[in-house]
Amino acid sequence: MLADHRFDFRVAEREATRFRDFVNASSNFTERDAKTLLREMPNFTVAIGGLASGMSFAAAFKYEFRVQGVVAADLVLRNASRNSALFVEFEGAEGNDIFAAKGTNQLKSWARRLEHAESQVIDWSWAIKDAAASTILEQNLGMRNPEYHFMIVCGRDSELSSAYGTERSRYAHRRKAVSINGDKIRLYTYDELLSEVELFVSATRAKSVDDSAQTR
Amino acid sequence: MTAASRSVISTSRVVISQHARERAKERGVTTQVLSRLISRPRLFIEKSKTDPVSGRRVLREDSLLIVWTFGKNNEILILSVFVDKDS
Repeated sequence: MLADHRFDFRVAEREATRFRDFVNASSNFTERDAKTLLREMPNFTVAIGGLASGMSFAAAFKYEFRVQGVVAADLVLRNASRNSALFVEFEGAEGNDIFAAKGTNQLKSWARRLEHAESQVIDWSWAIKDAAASTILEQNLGMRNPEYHFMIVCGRDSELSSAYGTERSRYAHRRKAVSINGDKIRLYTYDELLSEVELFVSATRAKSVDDSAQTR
Repeated sequence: MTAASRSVISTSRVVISQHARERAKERGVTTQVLSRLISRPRLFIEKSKTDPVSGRRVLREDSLLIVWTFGKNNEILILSVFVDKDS
């Protein structure tokens, strides 16, 4: 079952600072270290929902969510009022997470870590489809037939920098091209995740200030 | 004269970063909507609100939240676009 959480702007700011310090402290960290920290940051966690189209802040979440007992997502976010669920896979940032060290003379190969993550997302999608007639998933998720979104967080921006921009261009193309059931698999580096969550929190805070000014 | 009114005089264009363009499309924002936004620099100056904590500027338009800043040449630089179904 997912746990409800009410978003708090002030605490979210502190959590974002903590996550920024973590990301900036080292160019490499493991998936386990990132997830351990994120588990301690419920406000930053529910703000990740804002990166899925129209979901906004999640109202509930769970780390390690099993689908049909056979596959598990690192994180699931729910916003029942918008009928949205976001499944997130975290990978590490240990170097060569997006592109492998080896490749051809012209192109680096895609890293096994990213390809593994995408395969997991495909399996979630299959398990969700396979569970269509089951009430167990519905009960665990706490809503019926939501719009499903999928996200992978993997590696660092620094992996995408090269003299001719080839890796960044291939990454952007992959992000644009890979979809499940017509919905893009959202690919984020840890740097992008931090930056986008901060921008989303800024955007909604400015909006809420605007709203309260209008109702005064 | 306020900073905003000085800017409206000198700002003639809106630029969307490649990152923001990719994110906007991923979130279902069409090229048409982006083009319409890019053609209206005055809208950004006149209607944006400022986040009191980060100081980032935010335009709320067409069910979107558009976060932007002034670029090096005083252009309006869109940093990211979020879908806001409530508005």
